[in-house]
Amino acid sequence: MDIVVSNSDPRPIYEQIYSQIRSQIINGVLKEGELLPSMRVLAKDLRISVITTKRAYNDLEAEGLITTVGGKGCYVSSVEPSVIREGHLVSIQESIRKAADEARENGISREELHEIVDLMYDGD
Amino acid sequence: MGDFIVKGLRKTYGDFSLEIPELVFRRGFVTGVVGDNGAGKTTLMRCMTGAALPEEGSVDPGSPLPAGAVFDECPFPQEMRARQLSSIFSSMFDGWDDQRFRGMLKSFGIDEGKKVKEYSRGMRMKAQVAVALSHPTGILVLDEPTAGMDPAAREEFLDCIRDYMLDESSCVAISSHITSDIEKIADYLVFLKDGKVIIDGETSEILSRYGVLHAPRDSDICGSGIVRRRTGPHGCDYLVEGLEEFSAAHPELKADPVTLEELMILISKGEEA
Repeated sequence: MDIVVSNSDPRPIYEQIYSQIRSQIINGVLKEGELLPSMRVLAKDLRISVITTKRAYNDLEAEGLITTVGGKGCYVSSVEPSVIREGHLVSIQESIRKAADEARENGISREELHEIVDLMYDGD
Repeated sequence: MGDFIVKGLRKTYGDFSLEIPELVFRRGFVTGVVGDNGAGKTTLMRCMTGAALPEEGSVDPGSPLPAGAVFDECPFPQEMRARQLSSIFSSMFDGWDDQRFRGMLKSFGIDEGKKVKEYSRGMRMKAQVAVALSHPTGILVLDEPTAGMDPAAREEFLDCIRDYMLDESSCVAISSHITSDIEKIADYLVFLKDGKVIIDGETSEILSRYGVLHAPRDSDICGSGIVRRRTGPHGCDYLVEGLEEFSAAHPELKADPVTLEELMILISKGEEA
């Protein structure tokens, strides 16, 4: 499991870990039933506090992405990909709606907005 | 096994008095003890291992196992060689692991045949670390364990602690003036000043709670959130408590997150604001 923690990332470390494991589960890199490293092993490997890894794992568990089996460790849960995808689509629609409103109000054409989206999609 | 708890502690040396109503060293975590020289770190740690007897108060180790300790003065007999130390400790400590001890000496670069009196300062600390980590312990009490070690050796030492913490029944109390080491290894922080605990909590929470504001010398910033002020030759630093609220209330003032080093300096050298 690859996790990259960066000090230049403005997000707190637990959130970086949470979002990386989360996307690996959603993208199927981590498969259902796979055993994650224990919170203590991950804390040691990343040289961070076990409080931080615990927080990341707790958030993943609260979202139903992993399950803790007492005494054994944390496993990747079965995740219905369509459920996760739906959640993303709703949040993306919300962001785009704001952008579209602002474009319309300020005379930015549909084509220009499309162009911006295409550019953003490829990353800056 | 429970937390290591210090209660109602009072220990005086002349004018100095260490007074601690209650302090919890959580099992499964590393607690960093910080403060200026004379703040009471060593006194607290000596009371925790039983090396000093407090006038009042109690220490509940939360474990039947002995404490492992590293102190500035190396307690081993000066004329002894490391390999002789091992045979002494094997009769002193249950579960003494000779192989582990020798392995650690080797990785620390300590010649087993060398006498304790021939050790450098860094080697004396490392030898104590090797002893402390070579038998089952209820708590590790480490007073300035990285003093005299170069950066690579310090990192190697911190890795030993990280290994030790893989066992969730481990408990560590560590002091150091090398604030970066504490920031790296301590899950919780205890800040001592003049024999009293002035800040106690989760390291990342404490460091995100405080901020530092750099302003011109003639600035006179006060109000809620500003707790310390320190004037330097070219500007003035303010210690802000409640960084998030402060930044929201004063968006024109740019306060930076604090490092442990800045926090310690502003608390000990800054004037109260």
